[in-house]
Amino acid sequence: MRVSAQFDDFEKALEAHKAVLSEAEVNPDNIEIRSSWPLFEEPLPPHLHRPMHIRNFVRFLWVCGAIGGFSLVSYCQLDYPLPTSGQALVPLPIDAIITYECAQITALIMTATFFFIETKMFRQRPIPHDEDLDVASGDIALVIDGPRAEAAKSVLEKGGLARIVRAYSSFIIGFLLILLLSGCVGPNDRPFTQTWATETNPPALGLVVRMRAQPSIKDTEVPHAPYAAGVYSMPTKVDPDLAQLPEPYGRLLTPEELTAYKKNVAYPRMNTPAAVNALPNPVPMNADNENRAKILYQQNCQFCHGVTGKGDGQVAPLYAPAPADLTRKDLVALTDGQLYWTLTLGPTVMPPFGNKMTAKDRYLIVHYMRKLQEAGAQAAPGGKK
Amino acid sequence: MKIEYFKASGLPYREIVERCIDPMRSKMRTRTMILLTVCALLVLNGLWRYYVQIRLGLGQAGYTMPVYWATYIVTFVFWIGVAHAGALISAILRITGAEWKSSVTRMAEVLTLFTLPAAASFPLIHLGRAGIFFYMLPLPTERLLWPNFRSPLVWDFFAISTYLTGSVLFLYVTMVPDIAIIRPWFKGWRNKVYTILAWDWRGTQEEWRRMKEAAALFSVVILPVVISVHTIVSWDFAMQMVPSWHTSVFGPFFFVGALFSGMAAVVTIMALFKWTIPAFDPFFTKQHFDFIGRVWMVLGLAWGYLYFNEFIPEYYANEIDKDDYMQWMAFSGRFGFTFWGMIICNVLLPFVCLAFKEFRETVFPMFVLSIFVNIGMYLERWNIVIGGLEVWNPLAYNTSLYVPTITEVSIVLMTFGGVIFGYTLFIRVMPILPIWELLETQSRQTVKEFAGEKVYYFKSGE
Repeated sequence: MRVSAQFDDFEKALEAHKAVLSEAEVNPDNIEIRSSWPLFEEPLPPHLHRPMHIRNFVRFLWVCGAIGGFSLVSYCQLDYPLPTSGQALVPLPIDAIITYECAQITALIMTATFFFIETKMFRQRPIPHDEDLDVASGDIALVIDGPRAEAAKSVLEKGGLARIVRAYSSFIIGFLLILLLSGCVGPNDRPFTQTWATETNPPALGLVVRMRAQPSIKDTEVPHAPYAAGVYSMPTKVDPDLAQLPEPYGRLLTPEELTAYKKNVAYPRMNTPAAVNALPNPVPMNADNENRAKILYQQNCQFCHGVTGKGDGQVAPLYAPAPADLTRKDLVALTDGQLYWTLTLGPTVMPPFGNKMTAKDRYLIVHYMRKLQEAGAQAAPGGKK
Repeated sequence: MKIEYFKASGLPYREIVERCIDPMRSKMRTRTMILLTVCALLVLNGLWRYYVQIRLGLGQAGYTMPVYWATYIVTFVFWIGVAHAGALISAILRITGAEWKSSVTRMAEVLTLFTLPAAASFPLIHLGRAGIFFYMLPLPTERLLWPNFRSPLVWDFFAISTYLTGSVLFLYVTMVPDIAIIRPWFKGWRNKVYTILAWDWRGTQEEWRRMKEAAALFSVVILPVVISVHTIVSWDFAMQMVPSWHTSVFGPFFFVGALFSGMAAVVTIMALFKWTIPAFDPFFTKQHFDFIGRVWMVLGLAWGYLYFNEFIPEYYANEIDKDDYMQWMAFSGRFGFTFWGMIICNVLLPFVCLAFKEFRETVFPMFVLSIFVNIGMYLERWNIVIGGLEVWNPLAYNTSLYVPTITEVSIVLMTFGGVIFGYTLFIRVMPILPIWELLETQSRQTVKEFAGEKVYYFKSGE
């Protein structure tokens, strides 16, 4: 049974409170004082009073935030040591700024979080909202739990863990939801579980975003010169040079077509159609084309396969089946058509380029690969790696 | 000297609550609707212009060769300055225990809530490729590229996001009891929304203890954040190799200027509340204007000192660039209007007017002065950004002068419209006066008679 009384005057409430304590001998822990503004602690008789931890939590987490901010900047610094002509990438004062801001934002968020957690945890008696009407016009209310005091107390002490879980549950669920939303939803080209499978060195905080998934041409960007044709709009005409190729290998593939092909053919390189396989490179090589081929290689291939095609590009260490050495013997032995087919549909890890470059450009890349293979053979006589 | 006691409103508690929720319960008047319509049109016009700018490029803004930071950045700094009022009034006045704060804390925080996003939007509008602004986030990429931590823009990003998060949380946490208080006064969907937002607040003393603790923590933590925000904004300039910008005093100078203009914005809103919302009249008395006028005047004097301090060392060091800049600003004719306008609005007028108690206590002149000060602060940023770049003109081909285009003006007006729109609507859905703080002030006010004279004082804290 619960008794609640409301007073329009502070002094009256004080008297009643004292009477309840002395005459009815109610446990002070079962007395709750409600008001629309904070009352002074000093003249109040004993009532429900619980220890307050918010300040210690926030102190501790301020330090955690500072450590986190410092680690973030240090990680960025160690992760990719840019040549900075003798200077550290992030000088100490700047490190201090970022560290400081991280600590402050942690403290601010944690103050709010623990404020809500603590006030929720110490709100013991579930009461319908209508009873709060009393204090909405500036009255003071006393809520006393008489006969049920002992029972309620033992329940609370027994169910300590459950109570904490209940109090935190909304935060835990919210946090998980945020993680889920930031990691799983969004422009993502691979399934969630497959993301790091092929990478030996996954970046920290990788759950949050994967920039590889963003479109390679930004909304306000002017296309680069080699991309000018065929990237924005899907070309419908067949290139005259490539008219002899069976459809649709002579044009830009749509993403749907690529998916369909990849689904039907388990390991594309092994299944080159004979028509493509036997075809010599239909695109002629001249000075203009050579230059264009070089730029195309630099933009699309070099960061994995390296300047000389040895598979030693800058991001090569990230991939578990390492990028292929293009000057390898078995790759030299492939025909132009097979190379074309491979880079159109993509082998195991390398993405398909059939929807990214026109057929002509893909054949230009094949030209350039041949050039790299010649250079590799000259550098290492005997055709070794 | 006669001691002046702050007198609380002295109204019954129920009446305080009723007066505070009056604008939420009354019907919208025609003039409010007209104001909202005009603001909405301004916002739509600005959005259209911004769309055109994205389509056609930054050429739509009037950038010329030496002036590559212009109206957008001027307005960015202006809004950041106004946004500083929130944390200043809530945090400093809370820490110092000034009793008159309770009328102005919430409305200053709400001002931050709307002006800070307006400010933060300008660096993005100013970007040539706004679609990739998130490159400033320190997120891992496949190519292991990180933002340039040496750029003040990245520090800006950190500081502003910290301040925005902190001020929104501060506002919400201190608003929770008020939402619980107003909840039973409304029915229907409003009651449901307030029930969710009130976080099941009951008003027990255990909750109040934590509320006071959280408010104190917020005040202490957010104060250095406020200082860091505007210092870092000033470093956007001070870190550049532009003669009139490259000065170490910019940090405190910008910070004091921000507080100065933020105070002016608060005075503007106080006067508007007093005139347009009759129920709020007892909460904005002569004393409120008097006290805020004193703080305002001190900030104005500090700002004037720092402004001249910026020139004095260079003058004695015989720095030719700065001397050129000064002469160009003051006597060239091109910047004469803005320069002397700034001096009059920010130094002479506040100093002359605010020194008199009669002036500080009268609402209309204070309102006019607050408008003048904010115009002066806008001119100040104009002088620093555009004057600083135009005078730094050593090369022959840097000859064109900057004139803002219609696109820039529209986008600036868009933020003004947006801020006024948001603020006006906020008043109608949330208590713009902190009810529990007003009740607390009222409960602590005590009157006693000493030697035939009434003495108003406040019982000290726990």
